[in-house]
Amino acid sequence: MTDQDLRSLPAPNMDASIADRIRLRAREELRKPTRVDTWFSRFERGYGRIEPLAALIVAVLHLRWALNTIS
Amino acid sequence: MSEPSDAELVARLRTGDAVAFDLAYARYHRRIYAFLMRMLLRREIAEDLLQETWIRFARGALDLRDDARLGAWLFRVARNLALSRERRRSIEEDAEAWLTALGFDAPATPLDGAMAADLRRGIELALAALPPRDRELILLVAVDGLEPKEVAEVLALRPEAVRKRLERAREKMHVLLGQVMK
Repeated sequence: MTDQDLRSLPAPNMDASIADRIRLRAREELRKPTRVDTWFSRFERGYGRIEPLAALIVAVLHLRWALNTIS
Repeated sequence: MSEPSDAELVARLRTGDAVAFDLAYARYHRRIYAFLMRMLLRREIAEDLLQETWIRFARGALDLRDDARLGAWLFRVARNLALSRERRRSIEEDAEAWLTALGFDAPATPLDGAMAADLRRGIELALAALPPRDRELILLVAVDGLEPKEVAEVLALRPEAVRKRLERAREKMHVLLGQVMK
């Protein structure tokens, strides 16, 4: 038995009407983004960009605090 | 016009694009169904879980990450649903119903050599007899041809762990195939 044998296993048949019913049922759950979604998405992207900078600032502040404590 | 890539579909799905949803469905539903059928060995449960997978996908479409891999996302959800419904079965318990569900009761076509049909039948039975954790690996890697990175994402494992588990699963599969083909 090779991977070729496994890859060439025929896919189980699925009734086209059932496949279509599932597609339509699931598609009902799809929704358009609201203004809140759009705003949140922008916030997430913006946060993704500033996150490394914020982490660096926090690290520098910690270092300063540690050095002050030692001296 | 060329088919949109998965990344393009993800970008469109994040805007709630129904056409992109249909394209994603057309691209993946048969593969997910085949995976679920072979994981669960029951047509009606596979259909239920296929629907549940796509409902979750539709509900989560707006939250897909830009770099989300569609296949890995769908297989991960389907796999988690399947594992929560899985119960172990012996080859004997389900063999006939399973082969019938797969269409092995249909007469072989002239192109379908007897040896090839026997081997396919044996592979399906050996797959069905594998423990679910091994079966999912063989299905994702060997049957469906997912990239190792994607498989690691689906199973939430490190690539190295996937490789080790896959080796063991292949060994078990060979032993089982030997038993089935005797």
